[in-house]
Amino acid sequence: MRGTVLKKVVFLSLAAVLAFTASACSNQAADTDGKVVISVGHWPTEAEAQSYATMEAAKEKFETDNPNIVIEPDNYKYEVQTFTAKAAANQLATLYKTPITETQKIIRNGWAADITDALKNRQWYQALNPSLLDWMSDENGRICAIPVDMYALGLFVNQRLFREAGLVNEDGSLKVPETYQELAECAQTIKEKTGKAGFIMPTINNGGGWHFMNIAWSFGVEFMEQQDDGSWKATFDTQEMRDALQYVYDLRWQYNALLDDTVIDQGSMGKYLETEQAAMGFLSASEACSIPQGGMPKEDVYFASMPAGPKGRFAQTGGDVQYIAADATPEQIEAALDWMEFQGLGAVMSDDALKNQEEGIKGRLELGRIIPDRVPFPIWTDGNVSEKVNALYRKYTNINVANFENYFAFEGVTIKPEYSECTQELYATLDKCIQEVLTNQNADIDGLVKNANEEFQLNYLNKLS
Amino acid sequence: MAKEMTRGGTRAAAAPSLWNRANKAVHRSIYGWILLIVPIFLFVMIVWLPIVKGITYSFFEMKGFVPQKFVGLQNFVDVLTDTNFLRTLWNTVQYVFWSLVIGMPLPILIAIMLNEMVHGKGLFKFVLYLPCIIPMIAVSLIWKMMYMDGPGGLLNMLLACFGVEPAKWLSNSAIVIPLITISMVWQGLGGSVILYLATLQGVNHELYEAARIDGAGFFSRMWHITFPHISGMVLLLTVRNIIGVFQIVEQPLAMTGGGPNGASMSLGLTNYFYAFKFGQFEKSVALGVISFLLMVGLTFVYYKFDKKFED
Repeated sequence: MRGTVLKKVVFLSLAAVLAFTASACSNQAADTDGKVVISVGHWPTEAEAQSYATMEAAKEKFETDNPNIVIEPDNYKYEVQTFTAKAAANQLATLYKTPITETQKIIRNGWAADITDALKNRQWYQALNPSLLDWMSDENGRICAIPVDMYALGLFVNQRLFREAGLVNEDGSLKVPETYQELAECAQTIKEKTGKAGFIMPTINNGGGWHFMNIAWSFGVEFMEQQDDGSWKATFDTQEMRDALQYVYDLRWQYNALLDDTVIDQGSMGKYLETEQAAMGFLSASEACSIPQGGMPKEDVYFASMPAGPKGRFAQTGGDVQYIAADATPEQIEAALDWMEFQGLGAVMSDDALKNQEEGIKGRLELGRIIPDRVPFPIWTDGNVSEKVNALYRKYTNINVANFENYFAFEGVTIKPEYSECTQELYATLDKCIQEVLTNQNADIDGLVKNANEEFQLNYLNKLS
Repeated sequence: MAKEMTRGGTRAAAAPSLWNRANKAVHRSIYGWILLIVPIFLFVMIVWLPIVKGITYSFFEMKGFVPQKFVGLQNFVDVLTDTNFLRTLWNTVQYVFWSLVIGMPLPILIAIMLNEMVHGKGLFKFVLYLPCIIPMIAVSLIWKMMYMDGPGGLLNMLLACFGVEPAKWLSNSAIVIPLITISMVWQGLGGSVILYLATLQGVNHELYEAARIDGAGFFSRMWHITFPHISGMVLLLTVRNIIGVFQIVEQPLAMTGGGPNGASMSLGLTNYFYAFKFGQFEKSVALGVISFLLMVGLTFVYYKFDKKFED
């Protein structure tokens, strides 16, 4: 008798544990009561009161208009340390978002659903900016991602520090650097006159490589090229690359224009700019608009085009991308796209979508961010969508729009996407070069470039299958 | 069991009685076994299953965390032929070396001093143990501020008080590993001191008195009485230290990102980057297996030497 009780206890305990484990392993809510349930990531927490209220109101309206769809908020926001574990455990929201730098990795690992047909049916595919197509596609050209917030990098300028350093033209306008040479000279003057760093760039967590790409391209560097047999070859063991790296070296050792801190990630770079410890840096438009949130007066923010190098002006594109979980059902895919369209993130701009966009802009205003007079980068080629949203931006803009005009003009700027292969690996390789020239006055630039090119070829490009 | 069954009827008949004996043994401590179910389940799920899966996956090409194709030793070849591997391994050995040089004698000395103290022992123990309760990342960030280059760094501010020019700390590739190791030792010191102190307090004081009567001095008493008594603890902490430091990730991640120019990159951090920065999980698990084997080897060698020393 006792043995039977024991067996039951053991069996029930194991059954309970297994049931709990099994239930925790699936996140894609099945259709319940004929309703399609989708979870939506990046949902604000209650602590973010304004954004939370906006999203909850949008959810209520959406569910009323679409009684067959249920939205389940998911607070998870992308972070490098936890994302892969969540993806492996099938715990990603039905609709989730990451920076575009992760897109190819996510597609390659099969964590995003193929939504090509659904996008074609909605005419989104046809309306998507062609320059973004490759980025959003897998090796067979199938679309697995949708860009929602794109940008090209620009040069952030602290007007107060410029004026304090006397970098002002006779007509009172700022002497904003047009070339990398001018940037170095301006940065030097600022450091000498104000004691603050003239220029800042990240150096770790691939940020150094990411920012350096812009400088290198403008010096004429091409990092890799595909061969006729499909393999890739590292191509940056060149004089142009040496010149570009020498430029970064000079910023530190000749112009003494940088911070003493040489361990800087993208986050701490933002903090240095917010607290006015540095006068210039490369930022995306949305990052530049967020700087006043950290305390810097928005009137002092000036945003310009990337400087020109010997081979022209180059600005890297980036942004945020949304995906639909790989195991989503066709109904969930449609529901997720409906939600995106309702949010104003699709190729169709309905009245509801416009209203949601407007609420989003109001929310950013309340947080103290800058609202420029237009969208930084058009995702959809349909002019109607951009024009409608730009009209909203113009209505709520809270700055002197001339301070962003130089950036938006994109005059002579070549907007360039990341490489599709081994991007993060390339940044990591370049990070090390940047660290070496910023920390070692006797850095051997020639050897560094040679080694980096060889290392990138042997460790990464040669191992592409 | 199979062996027993092949030995004819008499031996075969003994099998049920063995089962009965086992059954009785389980029933005798029934509540103990029930209590063990959950820990065993968790241990298998959280410790053994990942280890076994990790070793298995290291022989496969992966898509995300899903094995796709058996590739034999290719992942290991990829990891071992990476041009940074040897340097990273050497860095990791340096971390271990410096943690032994800085981290082993210090807690022993402090524990001996504390053991001799009459007043304020509790306060010192508390103060020494305090860093242990600070999260590792917080400790790393505190020390990063201490080591910051330029006049704004805390150590450089201290130097400035004595009229010394600001020094380069974490950006100096020659000293970056010892500097990171100091921050680790600072945090782990209290725990080791408490363990050594507990061992020292177990030493019979009559031995010291007898030695003193025989004319033994301080160092002689240390050498002949104290050290033999704490040698077991030294061995235990050394092995734990080697294994722990060999897996170092958080400190270089938070303080230097592995830089400058890979000077503080460790095997653990490389593993983290493979998995979370580059999404190359097969290389990550392969490197994990290599690290595991290296640690097993190191521990084996250490025990061999220790046994030889004891003999």
